[in-house]
Amino acid sequence: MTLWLEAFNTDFWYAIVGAVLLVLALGAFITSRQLIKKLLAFNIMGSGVFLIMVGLAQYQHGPDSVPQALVLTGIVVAVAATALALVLIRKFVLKGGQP
Amino acid sequence: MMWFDLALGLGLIIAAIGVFRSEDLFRAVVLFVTFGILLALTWLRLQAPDLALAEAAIGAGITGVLLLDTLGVFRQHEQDINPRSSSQLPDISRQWAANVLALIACISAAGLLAWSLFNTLKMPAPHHNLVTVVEANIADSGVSHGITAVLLNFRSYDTLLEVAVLLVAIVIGIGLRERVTTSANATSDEGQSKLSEPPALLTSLVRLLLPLLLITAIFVLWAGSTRPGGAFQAGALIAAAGVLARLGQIDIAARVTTMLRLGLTLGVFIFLIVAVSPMLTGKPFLTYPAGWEGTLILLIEFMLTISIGLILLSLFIQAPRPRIPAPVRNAIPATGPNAIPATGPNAIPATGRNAIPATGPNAETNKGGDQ
Amino acid sequence: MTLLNIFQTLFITIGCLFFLIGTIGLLRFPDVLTRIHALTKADNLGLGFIVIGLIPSMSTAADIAKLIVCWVLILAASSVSAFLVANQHIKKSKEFKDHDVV
Repeated sequence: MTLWLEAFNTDFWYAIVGAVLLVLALGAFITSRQLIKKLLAFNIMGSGVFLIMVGLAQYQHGPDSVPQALVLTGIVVAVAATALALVLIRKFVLKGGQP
Repeated sequence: MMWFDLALGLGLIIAAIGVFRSEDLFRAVVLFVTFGILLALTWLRLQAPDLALAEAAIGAGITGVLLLDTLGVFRQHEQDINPRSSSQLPDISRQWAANVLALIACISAAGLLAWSLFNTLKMPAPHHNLVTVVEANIADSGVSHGITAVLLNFRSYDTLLEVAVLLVAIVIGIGLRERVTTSANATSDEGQSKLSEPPALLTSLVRLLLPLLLITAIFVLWAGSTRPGGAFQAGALIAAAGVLARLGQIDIAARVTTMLRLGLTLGVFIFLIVAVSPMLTGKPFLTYPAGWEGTLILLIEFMLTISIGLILLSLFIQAPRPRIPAPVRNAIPATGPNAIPATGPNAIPATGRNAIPATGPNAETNKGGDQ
Repeated sequence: MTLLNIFQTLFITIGCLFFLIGTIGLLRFPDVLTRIHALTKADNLGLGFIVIGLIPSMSTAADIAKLIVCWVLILAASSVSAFLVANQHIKKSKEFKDHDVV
């Protein structure tokens, strides 16, 4: 327990938050029936992964530009994936599917 | 300051739970945008201003616009095609299976994450870490901002592939767009009925903001070599400017022209040329010639900004939308001459999207009376 | 704690209070128009107080100018978006009534 308190700092706290988000979003992604909500859960899952990456990389030696750059790449890819998923969902709905 | 972090982290989790629990999609999307803004604040607390910029512009801004636009399309589509969207009853057994699966997945993911986080805490700090490596080499990278150096010099391979991923996304997006293949006057009708005249206040705000946004984008791009900023944030700003311009009815990427295609591919194209050309002199892929790093990085970033902005914007603008004159088209085969005057006078006063619910029932009653 | 610090704390606290009031209004008011009213009016006032409270902390004139530009832009954007939402709301409710009459 002392170990936890010693090493616990802002970065580690956000890594834990990221882990919680990841787990919650995973559950929501599987259970939700609406495609848009699956997409939102997928996005939040990605954000959780980003938080874990940056938080864990930084908690021992301060700001680190390598994971930050990777996460920046990840954010842009995530928005492209979201936009593409929305194109597919729209197409599906316009053809008569349930959103 | 720990209390602030505690509150922010809990706020993130609560916003996420709100997204998952709300039945109404609009509510979920609004909460998701809130989540994005909180996440931008979180990146600031994690001393990552680049990520905060990108998250605010992309995660909260552009993703929110895309989602809200999609919800608008769904609403319009429901009114067009099936006024009472039949809410299918969920298959109970399938839902049960999904719940059980989700429970198992959540428990195992939570266990794995808790275990690995706990073990990370027990590990001693590594002797080699990437921070010192980046600091030791940043003088040779051509830029003085660590993240830009990583993105475009140390790990430029990742960035090249990332832009290629974006290009693939927009190729699929353009491939799936609604092609207006009917006739010329149908397209002009569509253009007129769909976009009603925007309020003057909006157009003047757009006129005020557009140049400011473009200047900010160029500033952010330029700043990228010495402080937080860079191609991705600037590209997001350009895409935001494009979305805003569309609200004010200045369409930049409405038609897929050769120029647009050129703009979409420019980033990857220039990046590839810069990456491949050292191979002519026998050097490995993606080595910048000594002394030229800064210039080449700026050139690549400039082209990437244009491409990323246009790609994000086109993914928004080229997304499939319902064809507007649907009620007219449905009415013509049914009743012939009578349907058109019936929809006509009613359609004109009601503008834009709202014309559709107004004409729908009326066309029906007229059809009934005629027969 | 200098006099300037007290001044800053006071202004930022007042600004936060206005944000709080605006948020309470957003949550408690009954319909779209009153909610917009609460949100835009109280929040913009709060933002103004916060910006004034932050100005003494800035080191260069450029930073102060940036803060003020932020403030002005947010004022413009929030007033226009409030107008758009209100406009759409009025249009929709009117159409609803017309539809009922017909």
